[in-house]
Amino acid sequence: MKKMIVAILKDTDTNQVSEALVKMGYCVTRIASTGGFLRQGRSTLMAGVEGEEVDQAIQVINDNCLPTVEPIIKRATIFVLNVEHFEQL
Amino acid sequence: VFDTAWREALRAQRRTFTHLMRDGVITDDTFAQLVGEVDLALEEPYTLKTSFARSTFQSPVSSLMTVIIQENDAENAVNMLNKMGIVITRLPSIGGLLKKKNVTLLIGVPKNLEENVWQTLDAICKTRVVHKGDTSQIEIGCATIFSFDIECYKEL
Repeated sequence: MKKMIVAILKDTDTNQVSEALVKMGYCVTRIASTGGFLRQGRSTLMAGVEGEEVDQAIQVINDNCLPTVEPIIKRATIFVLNVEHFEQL
Repeated sequence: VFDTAWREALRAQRRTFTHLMRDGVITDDTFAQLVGEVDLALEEPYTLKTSFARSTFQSPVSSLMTVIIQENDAENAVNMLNKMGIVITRLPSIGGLLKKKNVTLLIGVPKNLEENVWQTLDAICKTRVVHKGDTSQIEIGCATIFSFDIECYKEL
């Protein structure tokens, strides 16, 4: 079953994370965005992955986000959604 | 100092809920529940973990709402939802019909607040009439909301 990962990351981590995901063979779409709570620079990545690869993809995101100075500021927010229908034309 | 600031923020949150109820945005029941949670947090000693408003809501994030609203309403909507302790990502976007700028919000919503988010957006976002070309008038709706169940939610 196909899943979509929506990951909200810091701008500074986005390049490295998306390169790592592309290297793994996932297709990634990047959207510039702003965080609502603290208004920092944030980017949104959308990636389509197979169900069994979700954990692996999240691990890749985790490994490529630099640690933050303040522990309460999260490095990434990740939503995993079920994809009802997927097609590439 | 942090403790005082944190408590002041909680009191501000409490006042916001009072205003929301007075303006009829949220029901009495919802108000009682939200204020209860704030009061509970006020009794707790300050720790780093409690310093984010959203930590007062114990319920885990259960759905992802993709909300498309007009640019004019975005500021109010984001501020109000933040005050409710909900974290938002804001994306600039362009509507298909009028090619006008609008705003897409990605909102992670805990189960117990889904209804409140609907009500808040409904109260804040307005229907507007705009002109397309010289003659035709089009009414643009207040908000388009897609809600997805989340398979898994993680904060790293």
